[in-house]
Amino acid sequence: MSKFSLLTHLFLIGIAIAIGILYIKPTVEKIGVIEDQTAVYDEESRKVSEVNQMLTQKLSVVDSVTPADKENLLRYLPDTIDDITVMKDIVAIFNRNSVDVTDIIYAPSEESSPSDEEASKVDVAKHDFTLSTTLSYNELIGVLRALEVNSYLLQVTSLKLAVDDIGQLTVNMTLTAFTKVPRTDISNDVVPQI
Amino acid sequence: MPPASSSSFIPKRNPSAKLKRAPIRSIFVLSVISYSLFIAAPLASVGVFIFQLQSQKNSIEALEALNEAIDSFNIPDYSRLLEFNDRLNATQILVDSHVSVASVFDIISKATADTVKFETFDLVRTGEDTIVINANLKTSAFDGALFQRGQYDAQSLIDTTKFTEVTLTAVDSSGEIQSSNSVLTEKIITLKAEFNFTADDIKYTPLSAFVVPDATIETTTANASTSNETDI
Repeated sequence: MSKFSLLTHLFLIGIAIAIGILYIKPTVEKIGVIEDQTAVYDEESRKVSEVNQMLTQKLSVVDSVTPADKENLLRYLPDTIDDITVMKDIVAIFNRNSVDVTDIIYAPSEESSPSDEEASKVDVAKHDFTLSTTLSYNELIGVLRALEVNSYLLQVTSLKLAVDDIGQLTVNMTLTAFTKVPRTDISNDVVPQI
Repeated sequence: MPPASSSSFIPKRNPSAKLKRAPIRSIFVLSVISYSLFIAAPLASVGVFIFQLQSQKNSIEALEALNEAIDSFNIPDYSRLLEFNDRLNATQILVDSHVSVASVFDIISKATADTVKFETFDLVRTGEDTIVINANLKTSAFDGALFQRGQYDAQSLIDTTKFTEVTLTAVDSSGEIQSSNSVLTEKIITLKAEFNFTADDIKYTPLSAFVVPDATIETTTANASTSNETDI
């Protein structure tokens, strides 16, 4: 074997190795990165599609709720309340049980805060209505029963009773109505930007 | 005389020994390796290049599919769903914590003896799950107080009952605390009672409210009146 032939072979091997090191290896690494990105895109795309599909399914469930039920739900926990209407309803409930409300006061809205143990479980605002009246025991029970079946929640938060000279009950009662606290804007948090 | 060549200190090659030649096979192996690598390297480069193009194309397609999926996400629908879900959850919690105060009166009245009278009654909802009632009670004898405490303790729907500030007082016929010029006197026992109710025990059930006719409610209140109405 001639010296020239040996050098030629070594040169060819060197060229091949150089191609491998300078082009093939970095390109393969680059392809690896691209494949990883593609896998991530595919995975995220699958997740987003699942979310879209789930959203469609859930919306179909929401849409399957009858308008009457939605109306009842909205009435039970409205977004806002008209304090005058609620006071009118409370007085009407008492009047239906033959009881006159002596006075009734609406307290400002108390929005739920994280420190409030009760409110932390539910994102609602409270509206207190304090009233006083005089009635008999049977009338009191009747009023309480009527309040329980109201179309929206009027929770008896406090109830003070005292008996007067003629056996009538002097009642100081606080009723709490609830409204839903609206959710803050979610549009900026939901869709990622790619 | 020995031959001149044998006297030389230079070792002589054995004429029988054959010259070792480099194996011809190694030349071929080296050639095969070098040519193979030289041909394979460009071929591999082309393959890698094509594969890279294909990968980039796939990646772009995947990215486009992802963007398309993201674009198809309907934010107003999502907001609508969240709002409905929030309202439903909040309503569920409120419904679960909805207690029947009327049933509280029913429970206490059924457990209260005729000899015990309520002077004041102060109900406070201290939390979502607890109702506390503080009341001033009056009875005529210690036996009545002991009996009453046993009755309340036996009532399983009352979570806890506590009697405090038990006082024996002499009063005149009008019920006022005895003075020096009072004629008729009697002794009464006053005490403070604290009742604790758990919301689960007195939960409002819509079914019973709709099923139970008014007459039944009146019966309940009539039963209650046997003790509380006259007592308070």
